[in-house]
Amino acid sequence: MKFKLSEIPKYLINIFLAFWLFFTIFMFSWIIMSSFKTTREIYTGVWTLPASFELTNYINVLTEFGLLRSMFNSLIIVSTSTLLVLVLSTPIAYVLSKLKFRLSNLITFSFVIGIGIPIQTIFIPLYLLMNNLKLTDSILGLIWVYTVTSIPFTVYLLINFFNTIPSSLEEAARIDGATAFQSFIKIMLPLARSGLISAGIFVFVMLWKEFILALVFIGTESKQPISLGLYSLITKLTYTGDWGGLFAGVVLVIIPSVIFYSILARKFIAGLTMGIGKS
Amino acid sequence: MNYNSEIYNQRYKKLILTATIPIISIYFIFMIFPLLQSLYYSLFNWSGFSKEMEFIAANNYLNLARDGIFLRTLFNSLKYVFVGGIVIIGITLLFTYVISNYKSRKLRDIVQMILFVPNTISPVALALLWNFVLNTRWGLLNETLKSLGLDFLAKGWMGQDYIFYAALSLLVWINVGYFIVMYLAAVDRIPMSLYESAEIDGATSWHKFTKITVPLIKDVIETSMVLWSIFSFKIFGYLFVFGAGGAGSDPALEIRNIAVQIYLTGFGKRTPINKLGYASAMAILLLFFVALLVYLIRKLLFTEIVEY
Repeated sequence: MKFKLSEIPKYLINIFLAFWLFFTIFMFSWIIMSSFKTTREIYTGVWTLPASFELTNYINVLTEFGLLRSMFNSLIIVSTSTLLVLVLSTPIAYVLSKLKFRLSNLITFSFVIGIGIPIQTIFIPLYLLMNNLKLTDSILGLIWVYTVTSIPFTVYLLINFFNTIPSSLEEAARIDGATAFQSFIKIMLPLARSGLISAGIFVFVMLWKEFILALVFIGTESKQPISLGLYSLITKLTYTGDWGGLFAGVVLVIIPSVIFYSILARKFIAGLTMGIGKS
Repeated sequence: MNYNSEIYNQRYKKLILTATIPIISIYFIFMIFPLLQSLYYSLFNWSGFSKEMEFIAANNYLNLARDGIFLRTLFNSLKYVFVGGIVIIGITLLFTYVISNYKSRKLRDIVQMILFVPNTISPVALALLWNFVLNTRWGLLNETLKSLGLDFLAKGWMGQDYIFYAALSLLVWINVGYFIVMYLAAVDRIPMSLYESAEIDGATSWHKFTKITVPLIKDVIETSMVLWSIFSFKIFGYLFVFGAGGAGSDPALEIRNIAVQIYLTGFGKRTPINKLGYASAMAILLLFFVALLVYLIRKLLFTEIVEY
């Protein structure tokens, strides 16, 4: 029996899509609007405008509840991890993509396996291991955990990317007597620059929003990255019922990501689709 | 180039070794070795960080098979994979159909960008946002329904009848944006000439979509199924925050998946003893289910990539 899909009118899907986009944009405008409200105003009506655009909620969560500190922590942790993971992953991705050797397929496969390993499967032993190294509840420790857990995916992304760069230039350089190391530094890296930037942006955004590892590895409030900082804020403010403060907290977490993303969207999407594009 | 030649090996040996040895050691020490340790711990009764470990062989696994809460979380995990997967991939395909027909490249880029936005945001923020929308007392959805005079549609979305679908809707909203980017990138590979010749034959755009686009992006659709199986089993932050109903309580059982349950058993604040052996057994089962699902999808669906 052959299953035949009947035609779905395009306009119906377009209406659905338009609603979806409207909802997404509206949602963000709505939380920004609500973040200026007092908790009493939030209770009285979701559609009303705030009585005044005071920054009380923002000042509260940034200073009193330390969200500013969390943002700063995230900036340090995430940028260091991103750099580290790129430095570690680029050479091996290049070698696995361009210099085939006996074990290269096996090694590539082991990294692909790594992508599928859920963090929850390894976080108990990993916690104990880091605890023995005195690296739990430590910013340095979280940087390291972020770096190692990002390795499999980044290596895979970069192998796909190096596969799209033609080998001919590099081969020519080698015939001219360049060592493999020289041709990697002088020829491949400049060619790979845009791909490395895309991969870096992608890793950065993924780590910026990371939550579970931070929850497991960080206890002290002054060391929390942004996701965890917001989580502590939720725990505190739902006790006091300060919904206005929570809205401000969410806005403060969302806005930098959205701005960062809208400036770099093209690069970001290039990172995500590495290896799908035209070959 | 003869890859196995002696000269070749000599010439690149140093580079290959320096590029691979350090990172592979790191990867094995911090990811593969802990994986084996989880397997080892899962055979012990081990409460917390003491040295006393009692070997109990497969007893943790046998207890899990009778643990009603664990089975419930397993069932939920499967529900996220299958119900979520069907809805997400279905909607993504429909959106691919209309968006790939847009004449303006700019419009297409903007639509894709907006759809993707939720993926760039912290799951904690999104879960809280979803709480604001679905809050029974003053949430956006219920308030909107009431102001439209549709009071009878306003439900207790965070109550046990609806909360699973409330959580699922959040996941759908986020992940459609992720997969649409992959699908549209795959559509870009298809040569225009194929569509042009189909047009000459009088094909409608729906025909072109089902007969040309879908078969030619099949590899990416299959990849997205594999990715979703991996993603959905691991989902943590969204459910942990969304289902907790605020102040530090455990997430509601209705939406809890294995990933959340492992955390609660191993590290949870509410459980005074950290049942690390038991949690490790769950962790191994989680990996087993992910691997099984990926294997089945590849076995049942993956075909040769269409050449064109």
